[in-house]
Amino acid sequence: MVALNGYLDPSEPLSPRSAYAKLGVTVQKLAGYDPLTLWEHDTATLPRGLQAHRRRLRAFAAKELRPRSLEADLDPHGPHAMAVLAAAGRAGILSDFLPWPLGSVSWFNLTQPVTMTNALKMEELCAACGGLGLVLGAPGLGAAPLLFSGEFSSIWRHLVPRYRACMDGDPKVFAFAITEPAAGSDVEESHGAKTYKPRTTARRASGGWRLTGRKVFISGGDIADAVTVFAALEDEGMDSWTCFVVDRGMPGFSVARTEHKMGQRASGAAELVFEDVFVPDTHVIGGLRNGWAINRLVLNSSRMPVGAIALGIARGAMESAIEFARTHSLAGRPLLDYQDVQLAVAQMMIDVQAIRALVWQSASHWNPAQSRASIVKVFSGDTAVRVCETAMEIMGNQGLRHANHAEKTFRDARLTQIYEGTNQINRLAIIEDQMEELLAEGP
Amino acid sequence: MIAQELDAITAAVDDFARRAVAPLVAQPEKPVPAAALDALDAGAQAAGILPHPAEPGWALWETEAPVPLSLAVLRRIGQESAGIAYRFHVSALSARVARDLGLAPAGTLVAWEGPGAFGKGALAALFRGEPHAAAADVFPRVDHAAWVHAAGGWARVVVPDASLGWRSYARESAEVEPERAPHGLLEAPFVKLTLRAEGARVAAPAGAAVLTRLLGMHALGAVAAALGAVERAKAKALAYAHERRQGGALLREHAAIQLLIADASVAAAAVDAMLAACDSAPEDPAGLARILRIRAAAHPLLCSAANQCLQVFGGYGYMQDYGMEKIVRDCNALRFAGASPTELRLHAAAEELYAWSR
Repeated sequence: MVALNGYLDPSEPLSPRSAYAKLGVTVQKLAGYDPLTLWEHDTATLPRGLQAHRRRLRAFAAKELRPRSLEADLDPHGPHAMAVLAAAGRAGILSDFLPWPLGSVSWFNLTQPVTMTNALKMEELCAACGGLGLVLGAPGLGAAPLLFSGEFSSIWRHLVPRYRACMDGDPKVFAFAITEPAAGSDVEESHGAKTYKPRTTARRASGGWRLTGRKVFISGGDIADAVTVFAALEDEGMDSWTCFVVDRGMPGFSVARTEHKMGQRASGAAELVFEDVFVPDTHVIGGLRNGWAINRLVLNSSRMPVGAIALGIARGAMESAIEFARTHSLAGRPLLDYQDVQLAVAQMMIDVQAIRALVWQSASHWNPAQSRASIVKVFSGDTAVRVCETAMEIMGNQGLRHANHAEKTFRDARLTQIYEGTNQINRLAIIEDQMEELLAEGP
Repeated sequence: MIAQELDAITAAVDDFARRAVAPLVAQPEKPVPAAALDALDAGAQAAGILPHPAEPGWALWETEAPVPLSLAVLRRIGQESAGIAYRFHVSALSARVARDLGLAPAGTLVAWEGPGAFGKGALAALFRGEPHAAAADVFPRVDHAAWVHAAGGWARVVVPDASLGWRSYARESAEVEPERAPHGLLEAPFVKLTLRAEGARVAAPAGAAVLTRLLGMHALGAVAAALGAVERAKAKALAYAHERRQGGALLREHAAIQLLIADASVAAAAVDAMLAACDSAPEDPAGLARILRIRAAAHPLLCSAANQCLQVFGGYGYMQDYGMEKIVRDCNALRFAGASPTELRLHAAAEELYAWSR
């Protein structure tokens, strides 16, 4: 092996590699000195089932997402999103919130927190492509209200058939619709919700409800087979918010437009229109007036995966920068040979490992508590953007080139500071969740 | 230049920015067509903003134009579009270098960005007349691809070399491949330039001084364009904070928003003060290093400021048609044009360490 400039070759006696090899086997194990990649080190700390899960997702992302990443970014309305959805469906990636035969989760992995399996999944997918990763992650967000409803009948009626279709390679997925043109933050935090007059409403009709209103910035709303949409009951406020399933094809439901976004472009952000859409009573999820609680539960469960999304994008940026530094040279030496580049790479490694430690620690709990989820989301998003800036910096003006991936990772990472509640709103969510502690006297 | 003349020029630039530039960029999600940009160049020349090939005056970066005037022009144009400001900047710098080298300015592009940027201290060594292993990578050279911003039509490119002399290359002797989807500054074409045959040496005894001045003017102009863009971003954020409601109150009433806007204001004020201290182009390497230190500090501040302004908009800030994300991308691109902040810091350190050792 050829060492980097300023470092000893591993065969040299003073290199730790050589020095440790002279110690006994037991001591070597205690020292934990094994020249594995950071990815392998981290994977080895997981239970066996999760190790296999992580490897499988990594292989899937390398095969299906990475090759499409750049083109999907330039052609967001092209065939890439549906192609990866079909492949992911067949691989069981779109139906992994329920055990087999209802979904694709192996019974051997049922003891693992869903938050953890989801975090591992989103990191691997988004390391390959933030946009295509969101294409595959957004359906889980859309299905979450059904899972949090606790209603087996709703899950059986609305989710299981779609899971089965996905596993057959016919991706029928959900989208999650809360944001309204006049309310982004207000539908994500309590104080704002109290003052907001909801514009999407449900009027009672015989055997069901009629929905009217608009939802904006709905991830995957353009391709979803069904939408979990939140509406207030007519003449009532946000405390009447109720979750409904609206199927694509229901009269009065349409996709008005998809946005031109800064990044994560492969995933559409759609404006959905509901013009007197009739939904039967069987499409009410979780009971009338329980929508706000379900919404908050969904957000808690989604903010941690956003941390994993940010982690994946940051890791992708770091890997692109390392690859660039290895293959581009100055004065005949690879950039990686220069100390200023090594310092930048080391800082990226530090930041990525720090995000991962926080994500994994939080995701290892079954219940995604609000403050914990928000802490993960804020730290991960802010740190990821910094990692992506560093990746661009290492590349110099070639960091502006689309083909080098780094500038795309910056654009993709930037969204993690905004969606699922801006990082400002998430900071306030931490305070809300810890209010009792903050107001208590003494330890 | 007397005050009335300055006021007249400033008013003319402001009029051009509002009348000619602003309409072109009114829909930020739509790229400006190349033909429209070419027509804008002609309009800028007629307005005295871009240099006229036959009639020297006070246009951007012309010899008689005070540096603060050029910075004010770029800042004002940058308030409408950082990309167009940078396009004018590159075009005007090219004309200035051509004149300084005794060449005809029309159809000349100056390209100094080599694959190795400032070569991690190599450029500083070149100015001292010392050898450096990375010297050959600092500027574009034959059979080595370099990425440069190439504004407008050009038939010839002038390039510095490691002896701090200059060479002239016909466009036909170069391969030019446009970048398909650059991060920002779409209005200033970003191309892969590969020279294929050695160019003719330009007889210019003060080649090093021309380069020093070029790099200093480029640095200051890039900062000015970015500052203008951030001023625009801040204005949009302030307007939005006065109309959008959240939590039953206007955004402006929330400390979280106030702090975002304050961060942008502080950054803009700091950069404004830095630029105000630069009233002339550098004439020596020490003067250049001083300006590059300013640039190294300014761009990260401005990029952060642009991001804070985008954040005020929440999800709308991320959508192309609101124009905020383009400002962020343009500021990023300006940060890396020519040399990254790290390269600038390494250059400044090389200068400082050498000066101390003397």
